[in-house]
Amino acid sequence: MSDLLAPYEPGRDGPFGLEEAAHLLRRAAFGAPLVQVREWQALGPGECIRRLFLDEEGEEASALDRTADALSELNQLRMIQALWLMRMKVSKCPALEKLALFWHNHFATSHVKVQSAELLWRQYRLLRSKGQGSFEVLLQEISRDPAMLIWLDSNSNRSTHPNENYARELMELFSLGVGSYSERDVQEAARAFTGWHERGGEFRFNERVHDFGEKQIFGRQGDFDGDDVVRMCVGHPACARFLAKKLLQFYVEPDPGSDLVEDLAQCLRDLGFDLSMVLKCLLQSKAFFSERARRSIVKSPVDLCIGAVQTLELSADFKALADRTRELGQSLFAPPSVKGWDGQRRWISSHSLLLRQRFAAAVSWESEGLSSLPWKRWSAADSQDSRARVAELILEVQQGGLKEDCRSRLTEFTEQNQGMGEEAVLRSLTQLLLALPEYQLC
Amino acid sequence: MITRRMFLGRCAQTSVLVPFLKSGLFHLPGLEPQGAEGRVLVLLELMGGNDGLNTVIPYRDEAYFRARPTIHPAKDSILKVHDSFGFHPNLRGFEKLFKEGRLGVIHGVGYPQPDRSHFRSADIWHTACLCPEKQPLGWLGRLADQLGAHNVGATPSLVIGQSEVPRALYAARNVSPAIMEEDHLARGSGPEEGQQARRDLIRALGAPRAEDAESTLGFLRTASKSAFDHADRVEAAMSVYASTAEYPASALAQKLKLAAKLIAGEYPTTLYYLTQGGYDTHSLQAATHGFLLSELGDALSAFCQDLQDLSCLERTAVVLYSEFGRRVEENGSRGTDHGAAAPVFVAGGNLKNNVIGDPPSLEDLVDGDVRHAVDFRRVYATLLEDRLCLDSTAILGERFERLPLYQEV
Repeated sequence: MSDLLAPYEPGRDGPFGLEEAAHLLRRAAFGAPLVQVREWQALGPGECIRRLFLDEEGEEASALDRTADALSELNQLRMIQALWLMRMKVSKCPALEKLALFWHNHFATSHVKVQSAELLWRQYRLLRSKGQGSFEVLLQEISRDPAMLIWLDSNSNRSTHPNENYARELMELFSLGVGSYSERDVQEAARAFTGWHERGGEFRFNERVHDFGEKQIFGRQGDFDGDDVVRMCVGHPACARFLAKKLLQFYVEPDPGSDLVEDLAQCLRDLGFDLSMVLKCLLQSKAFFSERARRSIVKSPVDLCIGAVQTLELSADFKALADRTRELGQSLFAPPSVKGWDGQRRWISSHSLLLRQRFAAAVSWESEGLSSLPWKRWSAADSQDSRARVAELILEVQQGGLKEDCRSRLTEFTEQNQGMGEEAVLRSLTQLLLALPEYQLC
Repeated sequence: MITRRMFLGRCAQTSVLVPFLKSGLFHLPGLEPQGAEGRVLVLLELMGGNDGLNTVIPYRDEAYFRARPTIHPAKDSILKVHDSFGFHPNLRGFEKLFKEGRLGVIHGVGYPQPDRSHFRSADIWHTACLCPEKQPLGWLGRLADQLGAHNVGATPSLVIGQSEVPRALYAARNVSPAIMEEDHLARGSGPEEGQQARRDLIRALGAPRAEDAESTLGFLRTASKSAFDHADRVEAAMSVYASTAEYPASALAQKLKLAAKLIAGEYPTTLYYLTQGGYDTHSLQAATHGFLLSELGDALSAFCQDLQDLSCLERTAVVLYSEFGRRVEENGSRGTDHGAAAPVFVAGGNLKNNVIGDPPSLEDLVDGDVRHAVDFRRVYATLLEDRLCLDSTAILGERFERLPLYQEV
């Protein structure tokens, strides 16, 4: 076992400066304003991570849930999209929203087929509340989740005619990955899930159509039911590796090496698939803070939009923001397929890049429902030297990671355009920074 | 060097080059970064499930009039273009194109075990796969990937008039830009003062650099460059277009006009994707459907005429399809419910046969729907092989027999 998952120790392994704290906050959550990043930086990585996963969301988020419960009955996709985005912004625990987003992509379920905002919101609540606990429990609950049951045709899974849809995705996409099971395993597992139905928005075990016969799964025989299958999947050697890779791709780097995958898989097994413990270990690791991991992930549309709103403390019309993320390719509760969003480079097209540039302009010039850019605070900063001014703004917006020649071009721009006036210069600089390729990286 | 025009002749008429092309190696010197010899496919999706039976009407079949007592057009108003069928009275545009041999009708296109969900059925058409859950990529996306692999820097596909990329264009590598209107995104945003300067600086700062070519940042820089280049090319292509053709004012006609400008301006794109919505006519269908069809027919005929006048029609194929047709029997609300097979239309140049198959029987129904006679993937295979000179199995995963649209029977 390598030491890739050994805790990153500031001093010995490198600094824990502003850039490191910002990296942690961007990946574990959706970023934070510069002043907050500075506060977190003073805490050191261990304490940051402990606080990130404190499950205390605050009154605002709980109030939102009550609204959501009422509103989801209206069955408006856009409404629940906006509510979730708003939650990401106001929750005192955005790391758990980020984790729910990971699970939403993992158990990708779409309104397009489920056709019920209410059930999808309930699925989100499940992911949000159980996402940091035991993976086995999460899998067991998702197997009974009404939206999932509809999504993968469980109602037509009957002893006389088993429907393999759920059993197959459970293995292929939720726990093991292609190549770790046989077609026979899928067929037999489908039998174990027969009668796991949805009725009137609730899970119902329909005994009459359940196959109580003996099944053979992963070389073992028994009268297995769905829970047994879940347990066997989690116990399968491929499961930890499969989940480790997905966690690494989401939190650390798009193409993790096999050493790192193996280490995290072992960590998952050692910690009994307790996700909050595993994540704490991962986010505090040397691998997480490595040069290779930094700015290696393309911001998803949600990362981009909520990130900007968080970092720059903007007010937003969240329904309009939901439209933005949809245009950019991420319609929450409507992933393109059960595989979820492919993400990373697939977020980027000429069109989406131009849209990202338009978003940059909307933020900077306060249009399209985005407002309260703190440019006045920036202009009140005491430095009059344009070089220092640009450096400060880069810290506010980008929080590090911009090359020297880029800084000098921006300084040049500032000097050449003094005639525009203070406000226009600051807004233009913000737009430029948000539109750069560098800003698209998380 | 093979010029584009020479190539046009060869691809269509000789077999010398075809096997070579079908091997996918059509990156020949002098070839434009478009489909073979500048050919383009324009896909027009009629969203919501177009009522095929009220579009292409079997006016000799009394069973039709019995099944559609309140919503059939008056018998003598039907545009009787053929012994066995006529067009809806509002399809004057189709009638004209059909008579000129520039519109083909393929009867009864569908697939086995039809799905009556809009989404799933559309997914089936988009992925060319009967199990779309298993195929994340669209058939045009797969095609675009292949086209792009041989023509680095080209834009294999383009979406017109909507920002969402349809599932048909989901690709592994290719990115489909979208153009909403002529005055499009890339002109930049924010206040006009300084707009150009900001745009130029974003472009300059985002330019590719040798040192990070392999990294994700390098990828983003390349994408940024191609986004700006794309915007420039659109502008350049637009400026070439010099047509005075009159298009109707409808949104659809305007989208087609935009496509005509790009095609005439030799914008380096093979696939254009457009949609017309509103076909989900469950109640009081006659007025809505009639309106949509006249919009469609007029827009299509203006588009084809314009391309003809610009000498671009020969290299263009327009395909009109919908996720499904509708039930044979009208429902109790003077509308129709989701059905199955329906006609597909192909407009453009080089059509050898403009009727494929016969109107489906209204006696021999499956679950109240007409039986499909032609698998939709045969239409795709025909377009891929006979229009783009590509090996269709590489895109569709299996071989589908071509339809005799572009060749003598």
